[in-house]
Amino acid sequence: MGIEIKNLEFQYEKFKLKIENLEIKKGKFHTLVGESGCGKTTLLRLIAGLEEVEIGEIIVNRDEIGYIFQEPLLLPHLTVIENVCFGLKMKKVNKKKRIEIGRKYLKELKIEDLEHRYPDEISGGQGQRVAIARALVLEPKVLLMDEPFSALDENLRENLRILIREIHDNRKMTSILVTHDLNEAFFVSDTISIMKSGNILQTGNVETILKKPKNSKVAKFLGYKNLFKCEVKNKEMTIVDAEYKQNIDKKDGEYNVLFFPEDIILANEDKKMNLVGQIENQRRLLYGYTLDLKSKNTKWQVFVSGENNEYQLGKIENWHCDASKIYFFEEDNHERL
Amino acid sequence: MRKLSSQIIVVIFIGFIIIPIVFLAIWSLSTRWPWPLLYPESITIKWWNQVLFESKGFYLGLKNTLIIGISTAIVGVGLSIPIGKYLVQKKSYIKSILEGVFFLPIILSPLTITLGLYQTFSKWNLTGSMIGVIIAHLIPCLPYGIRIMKISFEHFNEKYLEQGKMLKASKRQRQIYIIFPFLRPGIIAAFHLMLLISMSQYILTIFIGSGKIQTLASQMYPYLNGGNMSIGGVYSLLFALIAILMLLIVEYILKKYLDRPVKSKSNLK
Repeated sequence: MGIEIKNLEFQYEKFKLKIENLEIKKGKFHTLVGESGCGKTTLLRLIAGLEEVEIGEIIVNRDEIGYIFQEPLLLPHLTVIENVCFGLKMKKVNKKKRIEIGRKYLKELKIEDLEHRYPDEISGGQGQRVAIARALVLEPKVLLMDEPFSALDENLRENLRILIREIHDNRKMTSILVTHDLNEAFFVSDTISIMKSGNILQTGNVETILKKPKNSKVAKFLGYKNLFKCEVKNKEMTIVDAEYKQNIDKKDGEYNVLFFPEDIILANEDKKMNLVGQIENQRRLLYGYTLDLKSKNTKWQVFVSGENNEYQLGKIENWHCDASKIYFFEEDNHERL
Repeated sequence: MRKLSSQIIVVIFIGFIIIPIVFLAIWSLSTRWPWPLLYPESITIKWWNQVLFESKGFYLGLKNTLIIGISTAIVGVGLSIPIGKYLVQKKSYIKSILEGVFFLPIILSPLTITLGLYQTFSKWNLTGSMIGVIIAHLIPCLPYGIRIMKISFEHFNEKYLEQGKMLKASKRQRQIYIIFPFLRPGIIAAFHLMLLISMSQYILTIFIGSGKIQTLASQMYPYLNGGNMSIGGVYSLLFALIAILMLLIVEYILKKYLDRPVKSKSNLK
């Protein structure tokens, strides 16, 4: 069972949620990612039926939906096993049967030793596992998750991300995750929708989103820094407020462009200089360095891989970028950056 | 400083609660205790015999007290829950006024309310009847019940109901299995308080009951007010014992029926 959203509009407090078309294919793990307040939780709630659709259409079988909230919301007067079996009790499954099923899921989530504890006797991470078990016990075909790991520390979050992806794959469910964490989105998802101010900026798989952001808003959200307005005249590209020149086969005009940090390298005999930049800062990452460059009135970010750092702070260097690697946005070519 | 304030509280507790009880107990066992004697002339159990075994008035009063008290508490809780919930949902100017109206009975003079009720109930033939007394007892009880249930609902996180909906619970199931257990501490507190307030009502019972409805309070106060202090002492101690017993019985029944209590930290939004 996939999900289809058509011409959806929803007025919610400060903004209007507007989704023209979104299709999530059956069996895919889809993530809605965006800043706080962009409408991703509202969209999830509309899909779940927790908010009423006013305009538009959402095609999904709501009887097959499981929902995991941001907080575990375990009923404090019930034990862990009673919480897990709550949905089965509501469906009038007999006690013996539901305890049997509940125990099976506790074992799968590796929390079988918590069976008789109450929610105030378990940790946050354990509570979220119980919440996951509780949602799964009804065997949903569609699983909706609203930032279920946001209140947990990084180690726990990573473990639960792996777990939730495994569960999705094993059960061949359709899953939608809401998160503001890009890394989390990239980690678990097949496809992603980036949202801003009630709209979807771009939907696609992880590679497409990363390598071909539709416009500068998407690029900014992804954290790309090297976004510039350039001018092409007589096959020569210049960037306003930067010491940058590039021969390029493009029609004359103004464009918004993106330089991927890993594509900017030191110039040499073979790699002609396109940019002059002074190294202002450098940061060590797991597999390399990020350098902050200043060129006239613009700031650039460069990623260099490897263990050795040959770059001196304050030094002015010549840099090169292949014309073929410069990314021209398909949209917003005249939009201000 | 903390030790001093604890000691002061203990002294106040002893002074205002324990000592009067001790005096009542002594009075209930004394033949005569004239001023300025520090102790009674002699000790006897005749007043206890008189109240418990020789007179039927006590048992009639006890029966009426329990019927009226429990009925008032049940109806009071039944009314307080929806009113408390209503006051918590979307605040408005009208609701603030309504809340003020609900609390008028504890702001205005009891005598004013009693006289007004008496005139109205007389027209409706409710004076001298149990139902009339029960309705009258609701007047001073409801403000407290509503307040307690309002606070209970304020601390209830609506997201639990959404979670229940996603776990396929119907509206009724959500009320029984999610809302009710959360409200349990409030229900017990409201029931206890309304039961005690009803049991203590004197003026309302006398006027609205028109002397036909005898309760422990209506029997006890004349003795304490210049009548036989010894019988008054017996009634007072029995009244206190019965009140405590009723609280324990109610607590036991409601705990047995309504699952494990919800701890406060889990209840908060």
